[in-house]
Amino acid sequence: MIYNLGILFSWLSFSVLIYLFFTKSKYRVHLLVRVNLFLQIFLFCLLEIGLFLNDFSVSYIANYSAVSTPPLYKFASLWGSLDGSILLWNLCLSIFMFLYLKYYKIENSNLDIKIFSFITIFFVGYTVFSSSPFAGCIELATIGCNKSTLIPFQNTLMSNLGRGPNPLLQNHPLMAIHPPMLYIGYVGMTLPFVAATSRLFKRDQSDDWIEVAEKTTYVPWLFLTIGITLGAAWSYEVLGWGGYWAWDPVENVSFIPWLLATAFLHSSKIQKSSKTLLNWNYILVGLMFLSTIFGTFVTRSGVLISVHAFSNGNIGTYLLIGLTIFSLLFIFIGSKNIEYFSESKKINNWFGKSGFFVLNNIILFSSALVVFIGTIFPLFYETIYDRQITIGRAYYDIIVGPMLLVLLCLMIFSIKLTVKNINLNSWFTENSNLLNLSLAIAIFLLINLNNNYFLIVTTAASIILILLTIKNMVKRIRITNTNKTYWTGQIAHLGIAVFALGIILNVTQSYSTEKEINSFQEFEFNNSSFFVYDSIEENKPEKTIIKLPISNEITTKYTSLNIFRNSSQQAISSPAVFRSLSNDIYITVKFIDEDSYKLIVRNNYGILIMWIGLFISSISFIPRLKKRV
Amino acid sequence: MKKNLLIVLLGIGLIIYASTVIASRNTIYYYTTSETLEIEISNEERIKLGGFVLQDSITKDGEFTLFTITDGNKDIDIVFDGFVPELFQENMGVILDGVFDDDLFLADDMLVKHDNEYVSSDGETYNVENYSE
Repeated sequence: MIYNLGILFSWLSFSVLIYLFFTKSKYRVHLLVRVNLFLQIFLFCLLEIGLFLNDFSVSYIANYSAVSTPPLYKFASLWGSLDGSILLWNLCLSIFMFLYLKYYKIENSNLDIKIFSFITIFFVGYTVFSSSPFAGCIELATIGCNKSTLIPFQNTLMSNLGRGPNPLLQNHPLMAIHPPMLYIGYVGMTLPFVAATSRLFKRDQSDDWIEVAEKTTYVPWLFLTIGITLGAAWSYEVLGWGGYWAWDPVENVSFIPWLLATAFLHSSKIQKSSKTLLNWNYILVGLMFLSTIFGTFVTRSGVLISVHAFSNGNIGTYLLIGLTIFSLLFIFIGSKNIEYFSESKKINNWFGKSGFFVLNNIILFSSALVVFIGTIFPLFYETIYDRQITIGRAYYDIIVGPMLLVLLCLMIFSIKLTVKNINLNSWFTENSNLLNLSLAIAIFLLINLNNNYFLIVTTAASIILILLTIKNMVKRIRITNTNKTYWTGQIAHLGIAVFALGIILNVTQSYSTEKEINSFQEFEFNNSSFFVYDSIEENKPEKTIIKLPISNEITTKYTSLNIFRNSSQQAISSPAVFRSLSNDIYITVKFIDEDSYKLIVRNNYGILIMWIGLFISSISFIPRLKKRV
Repeated sequence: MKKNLLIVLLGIGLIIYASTVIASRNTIYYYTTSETLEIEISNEERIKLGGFVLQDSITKDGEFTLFTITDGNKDIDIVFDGFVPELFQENMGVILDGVFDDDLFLADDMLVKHDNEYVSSDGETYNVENYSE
């Protein structure tokens, strides 16, 4: 039932999109975009219903859900594996297409909707022709489904027990929210791409491409920020390896569009004010979109070794074709506008607004490039030397770390940038009190901490930035005629400054040790004592949890081992985290033997500060909500 | 215009060159057991070592798991200090993360490489996709 309906409605949605691509009537465009949105919502709900009804005649449900899976994770199973995640991708695309039509449509042409529907056709086509979450099961495996069909009205087989989602995905509720957030961010990068390419296709059209592109970049940027933050938080709070970012290929490919989008959000502003960098902005818009496709290609095709990698399928080739088509479209439209791009004005004041923004762009773009090279390097290495390697995280730490520091310094000057060159002398006199104060705070902090050259500079820079931004906000936030995007920027900068303070503390100050201990014993760590109780075993339908209560003077927390049934993966060790503003005591079990345990105890500095910083950056949208006066 | 383009291209070239150099200095290799014969590996260098767990070689010594891996030509004894994945068993392909201590390999992280055949606890075999970790 679900299988037939799902496949038929996917076809229907595909045909609607084809019709939308060719139609000329304005009325039909408006109608068909809505019909397609409705169909995609329907498909989404259909698969959810199937998941909750345990309809194991659908191959996807049999393989990625189980009767014993708790409801929340059943719901999240929809995007728990490749085929389902493409369904969510399609839904996001359809929603964005509708929003685009409603708010940003070009007045006198359907070209933008044509490009948009073309991109949507590409992704919906994948579920129609290649691999669909609605595929019916025609050959059973011992558990789950072995072979499936995309042709409707076949005799399907029903397994009586599902395999259940990947254990990693059912260990914490954050995992249910993090992927959709990232998807919205990823898919949203289509908006500026469509806005720019369609508006530049014929140059008689409006000059507002940069405005629309900038506005439409902000939303996906925000969701990417939130998505990446949630991913890092989940990794830290749940996976128990004590870190939050591993420079894993999948993390990298979500970071690349973020860096590019951040660069674009800055450079678009100088194009708006002084008509410079036209060509550069066009390139950024294109790269933002293409990098999301590239990211999906890398993570979904199994070409790289990664914790996140899904199964190998034919999606690799499919996405590679898409990447080529979209790149060609992008280059073609770009080449039509060479004359327009050459109107781009020169940058006059290298120490004024535009100069700083160009520097910012150079750094963000270079970081994106560096991360990109690090991600694909193992691929090239393997093709040339026929040997598998991974890149150590030192590579990223060496290059990307200092870039963050330079960005921090640039941000300090962003508070009061004018078109004219900045006068450093008067700037120093104006802010001398704050500069001295922040240096004093930095020095005070450093007396109590391990000394490190990099730490001193970063701490000082971020404290200056925090103080200056707050002072500036207190002083000027009431002035109503200040541009609201200015305040968005300032809040985001404040967040990054707080984040930088946290991350530098974390990187330079954290340490860990191993403790061997028995039940009902006490150990000392970082001047406080921790008491270990006896472990408790808890049996749930989908997993067994071994919990070990540990308490300090104030509270009791559990560190646990989660062992999943039917799972081919190793146990997941979840930490007990004793939190405070400056540092977390982070305890995980490494080994259990009867009532003796080996614990890894970490003292992680700055984690909460990092989360606060990222949270501040994430709420930077608030000034944008205010209606322009 | 042309001058700007040149500068940008030069800059990008420089970044690519520099990062490739730094990247190649920070690679972590996957060695097969035979490959360790040909290449000099110092005792401090962290490497990834892949091979198949030899039949009847797994023993427990307190918290350490001792076993031998092989690629058919060369056997290496492993001292593993860490969580043993549930799937870990004889004849299974593993990738270990650790350092050499003369002839012993001290590992603290293990990746079980499983092929499409997964033998469940009740002895039945069924297909699963190739997870990476």
